[in-house]
Amino acid sequence: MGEHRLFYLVLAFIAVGILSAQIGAYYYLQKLSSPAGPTLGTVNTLINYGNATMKWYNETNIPANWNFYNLTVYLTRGNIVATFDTLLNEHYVTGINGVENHAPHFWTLWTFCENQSAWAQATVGADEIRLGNSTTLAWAYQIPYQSPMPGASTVGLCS
Amino acid sequence: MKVALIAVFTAISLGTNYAMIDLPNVKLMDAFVFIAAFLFGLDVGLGSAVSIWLIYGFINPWGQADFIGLFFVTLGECFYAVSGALLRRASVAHDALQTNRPYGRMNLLFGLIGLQATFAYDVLTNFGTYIVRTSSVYQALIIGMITGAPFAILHEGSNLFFFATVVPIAIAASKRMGLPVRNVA
Repeated sequence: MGEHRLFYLVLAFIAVGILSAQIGAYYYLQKLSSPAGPTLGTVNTLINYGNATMKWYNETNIPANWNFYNLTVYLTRGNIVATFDTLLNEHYVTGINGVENHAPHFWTLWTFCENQSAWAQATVGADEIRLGNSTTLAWAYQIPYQSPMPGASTVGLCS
Repeated sequence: MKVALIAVFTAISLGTNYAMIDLPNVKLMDAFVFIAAFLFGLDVGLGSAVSIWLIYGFINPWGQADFIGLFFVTLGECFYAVSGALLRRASVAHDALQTNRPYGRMNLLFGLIGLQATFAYDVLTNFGTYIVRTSSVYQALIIGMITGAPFAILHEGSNLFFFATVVPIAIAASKRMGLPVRNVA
């Protein structure tokens, strides 16, 4: 054993590394799947499929660290089509619940401006939209850019 | 002779796999592939690994493997054959076998080698599960490791146990029965 002590030490060191990596991965998985944890509040989300089908998801409880992409994945139970742009560090969502981009129709993102009571087109991707309590958001499948709710007013930017 | 050995190792691996089918990721198969390579060489180990998965991948109560999945699990299974063949050539294994009371060292040595080969297998196969579902290799690796963690822990824990117990016993028994277990380096 003495002459191979270094070999055994290296093996043991690698084993500790493996153990740490797996426990870390397991802990992270538990954290992801756990509903517990600090919650930010609730949000309301509209998904307008563009064929007169609209669905509201009201007062969804959200963890503090979620963005609009996380929320969308949650609401659709992962039924979205998205590609990840490593340069922009963002997802480009091209399909939601089986409805996929087909020119000239595209999925567009909107936020509701409380002060102006109007919808504003998001200027960033879903990953960059941080959620706040009582925020109202929308996905709309449309020829850009019309209001996500028929008849509702729109503004360029929220004030 | 080698074809017969491959057939025997394939048969006992499949037999135990099906017998332990209700215990996901707890299998003696990996230990058998390792033993095959350690006792009879890399070609017997690799032959056993490939032939086991050619059958187990297609005839499996949990469902048939797709070709990408089958490729990664077969490649991963070869890790056990490679580690068995490499250890067969290492002086550390030779010395552990030559001592009068080999079990303490062999348990430690084979247990740790088994754990590391299993970790490599799990990382590779979990990565392979996500490589066609994610947009980057890095994502596939991270998502695979995180989502596969519960199964990987079970697999690594059970293989640590099997490699520390079954493998030394089988190798020591082979040595006692006159099978030439020697350092070929």
